[in-house]
Amino acid sequence: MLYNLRYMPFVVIGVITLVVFIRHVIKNKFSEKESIIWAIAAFIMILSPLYMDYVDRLAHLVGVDYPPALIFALLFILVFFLIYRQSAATHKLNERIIELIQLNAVYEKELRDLREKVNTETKGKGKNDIAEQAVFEESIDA
Amino acid sequence: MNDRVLFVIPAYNEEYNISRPVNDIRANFKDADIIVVNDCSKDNTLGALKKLDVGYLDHPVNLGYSGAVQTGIKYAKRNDYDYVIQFDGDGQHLASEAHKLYDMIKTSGANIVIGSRFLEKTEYKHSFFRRLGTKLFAFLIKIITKKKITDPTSGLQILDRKTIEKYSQPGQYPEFPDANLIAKMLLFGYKVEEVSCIMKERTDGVSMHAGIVKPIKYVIKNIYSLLIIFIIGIFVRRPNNVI
Repeated sequence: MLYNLRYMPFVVIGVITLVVFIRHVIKNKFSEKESIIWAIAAFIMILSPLYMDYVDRLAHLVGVDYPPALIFALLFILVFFLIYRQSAATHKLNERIIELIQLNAVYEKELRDLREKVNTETKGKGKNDIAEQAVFEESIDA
Repeated sequence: MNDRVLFVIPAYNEEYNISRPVNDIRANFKDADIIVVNDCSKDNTLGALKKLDVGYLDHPVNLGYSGAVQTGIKYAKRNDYDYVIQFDGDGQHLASEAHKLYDMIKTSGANIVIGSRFLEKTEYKHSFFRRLGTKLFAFLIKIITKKKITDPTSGLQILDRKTIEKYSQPGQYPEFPDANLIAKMLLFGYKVEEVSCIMKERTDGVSMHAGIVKPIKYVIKNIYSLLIIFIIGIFVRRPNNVI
């Protein structure tokens, strides 16, 4: 039998993973780029019965008595890699957020100063001048 | 004074302290500009700043001490200042002492001048653990860079244009900008000097190193950072190497 029963849990988990991630990509809840690595992991699990002979041989070669445990170990390494990638992505995002917050604070001060300057200049001017300044202020806001 | 000098004061919950450094600078360092960075304080620091009529930058979320200082440095870079003086908002630093930093950076040609509490004997009281931490960091800097820095955790510093440019870049100002940053700057060819300064004790508010967990976390993180800088130093150390 091509699909040995002892590998069925991998196949089932692989199919569920694939379906869930494809659904999430379609619904735009997950990026296509990020889903690739999960899809590869899912395919490794689904196709595990096809290469079980090789897994058996490799397991014996590295001293693993129960071959499916080797697949679990490989998937564990993959998960570690994914966590590392996520940490790196979080760091990058964090840096960007800090940069945005800091620049926002600087620009907000510049806007405040500009408003103050406009208000000072409008004092003592005629109605038309004030209307012009209002248009100018609106353009700043925009 | 022909140079444009900016005092950067990070402030988090300093409603009752902030007037002291601002008034002190206004009275004792008249030619300089002041920018206070309100790091999303929970108290009415912002109201106090408005009342003082001092220039301020306002963070919509809390970024911590280093994030606040870096915002001020970015402001300085954008507005073409020659020097930035980092000054604490809790009233520990004295504007009259900041003159010593300015004079030192002008005469020594250093990129960074640190106001040291330990270069000469002063009345400043440091708790046993803090003193121990400072000595440990000073010792590690000496090993890594061969340069004696007596007070690597001092927040009172003056930075020149080159350092302002460097610190304003994303990722170039670490979460705890203390011994690790000084060691890094020394390794990459920046000239760092110290000048003896008198500092006061904090009277109101809570220190960012208050409690038990925070100081431990701070020391561990700093030692780890120094270890990384030590490794960087092994591979990239060259005379006058500037990155």
